[in-house]
Amino acid sequence: MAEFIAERGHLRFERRPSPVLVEHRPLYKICQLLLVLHLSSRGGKSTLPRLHLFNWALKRTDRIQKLVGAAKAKVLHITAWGFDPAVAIAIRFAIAEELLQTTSTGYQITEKGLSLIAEVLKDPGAFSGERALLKEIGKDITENMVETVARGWESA
Amino acid sequence: MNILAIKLRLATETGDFGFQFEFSRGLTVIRANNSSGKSTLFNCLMYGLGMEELIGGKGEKVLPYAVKDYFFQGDVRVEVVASEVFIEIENSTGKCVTLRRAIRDTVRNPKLVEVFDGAHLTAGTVLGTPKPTYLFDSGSAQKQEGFHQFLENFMGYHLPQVATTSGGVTKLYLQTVFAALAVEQKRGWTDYIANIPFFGIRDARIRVTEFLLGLSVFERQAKRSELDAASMAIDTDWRRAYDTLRQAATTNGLVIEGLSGTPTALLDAVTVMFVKSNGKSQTSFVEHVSQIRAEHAELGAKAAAYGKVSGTEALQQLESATAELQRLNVLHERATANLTLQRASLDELRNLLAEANEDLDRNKTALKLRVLGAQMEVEVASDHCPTCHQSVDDTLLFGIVSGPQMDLSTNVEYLESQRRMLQRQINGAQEEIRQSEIAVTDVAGRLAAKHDYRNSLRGDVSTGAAESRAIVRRQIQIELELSNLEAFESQAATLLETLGEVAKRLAANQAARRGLPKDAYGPEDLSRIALFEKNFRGNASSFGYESAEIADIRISLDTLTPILSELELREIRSKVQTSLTADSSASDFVRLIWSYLLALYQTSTMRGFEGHHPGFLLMDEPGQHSMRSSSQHALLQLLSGATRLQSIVAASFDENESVFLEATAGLDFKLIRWEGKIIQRLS
Repeated sequence: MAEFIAERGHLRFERRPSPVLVEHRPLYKICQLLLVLHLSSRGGKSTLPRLHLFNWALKRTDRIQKLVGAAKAKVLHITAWGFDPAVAIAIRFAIAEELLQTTSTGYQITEKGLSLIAEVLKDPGAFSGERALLKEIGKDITENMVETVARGWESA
Repeated sequence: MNILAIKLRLATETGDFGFQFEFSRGLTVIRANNSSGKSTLFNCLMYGLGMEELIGGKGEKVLPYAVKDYFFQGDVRVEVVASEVFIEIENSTGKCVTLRRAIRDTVRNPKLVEVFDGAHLTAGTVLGTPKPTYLFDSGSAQKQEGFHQFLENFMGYHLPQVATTSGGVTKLYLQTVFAALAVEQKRGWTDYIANIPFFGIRDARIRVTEFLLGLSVFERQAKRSELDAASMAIDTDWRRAYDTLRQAATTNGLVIEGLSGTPTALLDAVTVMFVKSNGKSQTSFVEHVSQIRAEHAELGAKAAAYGKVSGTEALQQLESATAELQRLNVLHERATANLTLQRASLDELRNLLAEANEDLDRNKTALKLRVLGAQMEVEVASDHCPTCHQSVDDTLLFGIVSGPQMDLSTNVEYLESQRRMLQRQINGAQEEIRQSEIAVTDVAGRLAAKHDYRNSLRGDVSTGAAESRAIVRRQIQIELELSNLEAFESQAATLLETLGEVAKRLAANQAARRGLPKDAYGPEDLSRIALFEKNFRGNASSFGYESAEIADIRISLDTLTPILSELELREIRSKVQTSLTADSSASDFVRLIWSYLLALYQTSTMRGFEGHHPGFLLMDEPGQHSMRSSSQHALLQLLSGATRLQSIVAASFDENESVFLEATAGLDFKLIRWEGKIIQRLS
């Protein structure tokens, strides 16, 4: 190595693009949120903590399995979950694209959002894993269940 | 093939009705006013030939009620009791057959087509015993008793296998070829070869054109699939031999080196080595054999001297055997530990691969989302901010992570290469594990043998027998191993020979593959297509095509249809090719279809360029869109001028005597016409 440097006199570094987690692709995250709103939220509406819960759960199989269990048991035994800044940015994009709209308590999917997600769901290969799990969960993770856990945070 | 005659027979309570016509071997013109039954005649002809799918349906559904339910004779409504169609056809060898197919019958199914030998309609040959053939049952195109199979053989065809849209292969069905030979009135004049029934054949129109022009693509395709089948066989043969060899080697505690598990043309039997491995060091097969031979000889010497051996010597031997046993113990433990580690790392690699696969799937989803998003006008999909429309990076963490980021497709490629790398690592790890397993079993075997040997030595020391059991035991072990190894050696030699032959076959296969031309069409095909283009242009100009400069029309090598390489070349809009479908007036487009169908025939009969055109054309109302009668005249003239072409043209000539006279002036043809309705009492 030292000989090589002596011979060339210098080393040049070139920065190559680094890979990006697919989680951090705006459209992917937006569509994941739309999917949660469409498949697992009553009236296509959800509060922010609940969206974060789903986002956090979708990152790992064991987490989402826990959520499937919770939906069946109708009690949420997850005491805390992560709040991902990527979700906040994705929501801002989605609102600007008019795929989401704000409601008094959280966010709701719009007509445009619905038609986009309907198109996405036409392809059986897109979100195949997520889709199956979210359908299994159905709309059984209620705002109340999330609210109960969140109240625990404040009292602590 | 020629269609000589047709007869429709409707049985009613008041006797037989219907029609019977004979066709000329050249041009036949069926002149009939609108709604007098011209299409009934044409459709019955198609039905009788089992080709009603070209009109758009299966079975008697495609025929008008007049031939199956009732018709009017004057003012009287006559019910049809039973009805059937006879068609007489003749093939290129002059053999005549008469086909009979029921339309409405209580006994005979419309799927049944009876084939009689001889010309029943034109020569009055008595109908003999029919040969029954069937339509539309699965395999009617493939099985012997299928009608289409009969017709295919009768026409002297051997239809090629073609690719389907779903990735399989199927036969180029006869009906698809007929779509280029018989043009029906309602939809037939909407495109070149418009009426190809749906069989899931990929690019059916191109295939039909290639077939009729006799292009060699099918032969080449057949050749290619033959080579594919051969390489499959090569692969299985190689694997079988390799597996047998590996199994035999494993039983003998040997590792194969320098032989790949997948076929390779570059096999050199000399470089294939069998080695004995104890997890740490390796000895070659030959060396190993000579080692144990030497040991055997030594033991023999020892046995001879056994009686004179002193107690001390025996104890020394026992000690050295114990030391050897300990060494083997250590080796065994190491090899086992190594194997456990390798297995763990294989599991690790498998997990990584699963993760990479999942990641790849998700990234592919993201790629699809971008396409969909762009269609729905979501700005983020094209990396633009929905609020300010400036460009944004394709990541949510922009500004948090520094440095350039991969775009999505690069990321997918990156993951794919990662996956390939992991797959290769896994393959390597599996091979390593296999070798380690052999080493472990081998060491374990030697350990057990040594253990027995030492126990026997102990016995020898305590009993003081005249003959050493230990030596005998060890000698037997060695003899057994030697005979096993000998058997393996000869087996390996034959297997390597087999593998060498397979390698030669593979080399030949690869060479043949390289010999196949890379382009879709070879030079001979190209000259056929050029001739086709010339014929097409010639026809178009004689039909009075004027929507574009005829010299600028070319036959596209991608679609085998005419395209216009634009005059605008001069305006530097280079290489813009528009479809002539879009750029021609309605009647001009019909002229192009005439030119196309006729050029197929002309090219196919050109000496030296013989294709597979059967030499007949049926056209129902070619004079679409108030075609000028001079153009119709040109068409009929070309048709009647083609010596070996049978053409049957049904037309109304605008119900105008002068148009008819103008269109047929000076031509040699057979005229078929009738008064009133076509269905009349049969004499």
